Amino acid sequence: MAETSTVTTTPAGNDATVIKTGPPSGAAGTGAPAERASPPRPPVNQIYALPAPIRTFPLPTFYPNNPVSLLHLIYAWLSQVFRAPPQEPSVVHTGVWDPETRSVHILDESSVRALWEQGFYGKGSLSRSEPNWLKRELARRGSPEGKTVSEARTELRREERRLAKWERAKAELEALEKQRLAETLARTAASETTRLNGILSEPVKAAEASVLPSSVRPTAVEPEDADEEAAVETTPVVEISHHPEPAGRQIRQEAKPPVSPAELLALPNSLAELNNLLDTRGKFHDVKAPVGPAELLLLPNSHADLVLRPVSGLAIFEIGQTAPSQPTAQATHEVDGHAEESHTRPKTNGGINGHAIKASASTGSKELDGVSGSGICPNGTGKTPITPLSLASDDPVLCPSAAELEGDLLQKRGKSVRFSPRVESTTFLHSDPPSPGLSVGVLPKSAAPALPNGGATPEAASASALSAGAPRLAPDSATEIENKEHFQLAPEEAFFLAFSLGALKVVDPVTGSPISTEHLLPLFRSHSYFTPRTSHSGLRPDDPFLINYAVYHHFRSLGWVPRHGIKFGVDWIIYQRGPVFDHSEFGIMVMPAFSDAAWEQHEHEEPKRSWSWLMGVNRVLSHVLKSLVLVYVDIPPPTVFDEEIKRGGIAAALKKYTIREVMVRRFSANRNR
Amino acid sequence: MAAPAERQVRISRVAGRYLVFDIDDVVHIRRHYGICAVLTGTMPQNPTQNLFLGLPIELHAEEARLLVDKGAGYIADELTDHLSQLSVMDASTRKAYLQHLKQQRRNAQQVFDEEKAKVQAKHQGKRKAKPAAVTETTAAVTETEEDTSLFDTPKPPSTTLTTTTPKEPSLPGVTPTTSAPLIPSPTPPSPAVGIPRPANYPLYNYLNARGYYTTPGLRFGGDYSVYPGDPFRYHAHYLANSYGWDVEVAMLDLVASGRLGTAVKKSFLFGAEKPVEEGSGADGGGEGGGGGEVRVFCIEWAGM
Repeated sequence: MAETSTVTTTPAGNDATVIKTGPPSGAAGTGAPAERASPPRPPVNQIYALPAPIRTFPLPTFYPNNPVSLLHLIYAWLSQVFRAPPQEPSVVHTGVWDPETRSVHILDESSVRALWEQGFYGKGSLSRSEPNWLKRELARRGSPEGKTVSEARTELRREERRLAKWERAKAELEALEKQRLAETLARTAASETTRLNGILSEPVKAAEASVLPSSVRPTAVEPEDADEEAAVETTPVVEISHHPEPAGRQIRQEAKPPVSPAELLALPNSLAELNNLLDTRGKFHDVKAPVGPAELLLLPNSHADLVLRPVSGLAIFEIGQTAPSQPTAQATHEVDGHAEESHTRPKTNGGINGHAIKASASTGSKELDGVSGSGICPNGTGKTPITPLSLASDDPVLCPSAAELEGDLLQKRGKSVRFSPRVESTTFLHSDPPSPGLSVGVLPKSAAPALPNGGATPEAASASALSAGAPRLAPDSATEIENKEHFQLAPEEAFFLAFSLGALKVVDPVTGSPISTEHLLPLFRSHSYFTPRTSHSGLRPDDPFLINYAVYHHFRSLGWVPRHGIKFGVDWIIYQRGPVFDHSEFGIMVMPAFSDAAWEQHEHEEPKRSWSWLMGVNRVLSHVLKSLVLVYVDIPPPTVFDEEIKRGGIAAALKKYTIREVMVRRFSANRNR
Repeated sequence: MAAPAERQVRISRVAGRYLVFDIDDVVHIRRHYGICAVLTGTMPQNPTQNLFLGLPIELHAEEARLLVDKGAGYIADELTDHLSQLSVMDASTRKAYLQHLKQQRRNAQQVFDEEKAKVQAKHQGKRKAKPAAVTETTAAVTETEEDTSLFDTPKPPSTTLTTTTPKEPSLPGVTPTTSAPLIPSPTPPSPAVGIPRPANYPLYNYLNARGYYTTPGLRFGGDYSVYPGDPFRYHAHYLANSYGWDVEVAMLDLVASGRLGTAVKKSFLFGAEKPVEEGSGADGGGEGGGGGEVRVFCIEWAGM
């Protein structure tokens, strides 16, 4: 429901109304937000009022102690006698039988809507389930009424989830980076003071302790941390000579740009620690065999790492060591061509994920610029590239050595996406601009100009991304777009409509003449086999269509709303009222049962079901919080079936099928106590 | 998985199930043949729980068949084996068996005694920790002694037995858990007991030949869950199902298995063996163990 903010008509400054996500009180139960510009939809209870395409006209109740109710009753009766309502079903829809897709196509748009709302969930030919291609098309062209399309909503939800995951990964990575930065700072400070004094003294440790926030310190780093401290303390003169190498590191990074969050998370864990190790303590660790878990983790992960290593070694001498080499390396670092954003800040080198990430990254660095005394070290938007790491320079005492230090840090940071060192909470208001400081001015090319009120939201960005980059056209009216979608009714649904309710007229695709139900049944039965059995002799009472139809009819008559359940690996799923109102609670597996003794004389194929099949189906259903119901259909033997169909037609034959339901639930003695 | 060829794993067939009772054999086939069958024995100490099971392991028919085909094991039909071995038993073997039982009881008694001594030593050490330092050291000495003796029980029994347990008549009763000492020399039977080729064998052989480990895949609705290495180290990558070459696979099964596989971060693998045609003769590069080519497919649930 987060898309509401994009189409809101309320002023964008009014955050409280925009971010309201619950259903508004005026249209309770609709689930539709109030801020929509289009006229409010009628409540779902009204839309889906009819459970079947038949209306009933019950007489009002007569209360003996209330004489007025008698008048009411008489009035209703007389009015129905003299002005009878049209015979039910008042509307007979028309469908075309399509042998290729084995479904009945409904082409008329009003019929499609009516059938869908009355509980016949075939499938839109161009949609996932609900036939709303036209709506989606409208939405794509910018009409506001298309926003309620479920596919678009699903997309948005997925986008949101992706963003949330990214935020989480970002926060973790930030914590790591912060820790690493603090360690580097402390180490450099230590070596500086060591160089000056020759003695490692207490203040260094104090400074380190002040820099390290204990809450964000990741445990995985701690062994290394302790190790490094030990190394610093035991060897008073640690020569940190990491000028030549980082440039090489840049090259190594470019060979394999990290794109997904997982890779990004993986990268610094392995390589950066490796680099840290090689930079600072190369002498010790090159000769020491890796024994501890931390060292083992630091070993190169793959053969690719080992191959890339010599390349980096060569690059040391070619590229050089100073900061000016940075921009070139960065430029090649743009992974997927978000050049229009990176031109403002070439060194944030995001290019990895998208607008929101980049925006936050630049936000972070911007805020950093504010935090750090930017006068001392060149931190602004000048020629020298900056990173969020320039937080390091907020201690003026360090600044003399900071030229070297920052160069090093810059080189070190040149590998992947930069995040702001400020750990943000993953929850944010949907009306928040992507970066508070830079919302309008600094993000010129992103979604900001698309919205007149400047309140560029992540949703807006993603929504515009959803519309496939097409420029927003003027909203078309629905009449200009031809609806190219038709509705495909399953044979069981079509037969129920035609045979039980008489609300559907199925038309032959070739001749265009309607097919009677007596002919429709053999047609559907023959097409329930993969190569349709044309001959009448091939049809038997255990045709898949007959069995499935018996089950469908059974549940539909009892008031359940069945729907094909192939996406859950079952035959049917049944809803109490319909998918708009509730989730389906049961998945139905149809099990043909040849229980009649007369079946022994007729050849038939017993269904082969294994335990693993049952476990698999049950597990799939329990993943989606449904219960498995095995529905056994006792099939009459062919003699009985033929006799009945001669005597009393289809209805009499169908009466010979009996249905038994068995609900299956997994019981584990260890869990269900 | 190059295996030393000399070791022959004894696979006992009991009531149609293939069991391995020897722990060394279990380790051997797991290490060298990638077969980690299912532990099925209950623990004698705790027979009512079913979470942690012990020996014997039960092999699938295809696993047993694989071992036999590779010459790494042999099938022993335990019923006929026992009957024949017991009927030819003479007095000396009977005596040896009784001796073995007695030895077992002695060992058990020794373990009990050690336990008791240990507990006593601990109590004494606690009690006398404060007053005398000398007793503490002695207690520590005894404790270390017991520690070592706990780890290598087979060595010291003769000495400790004679010294610590003079009460020979009251040895504890022992229920023998295997009948291995009854049968003096478990050798491969001369007429090899065969295994009928199970229907899943080609797919299993195919996976095993590529270094995959399998465990039963019942909980995922398949025949196997397939691991890229030892299941102690890896999660399963596939859930595998074996079909006949001409079997019509129901669409619903494919959907359900594919969906389930993706939900548990595996991919659904299914395969079948192409039947060998009489005319062609040569098998198309298949390692189906005498069968034809095995073809394998994977299905994943894709959000379109």
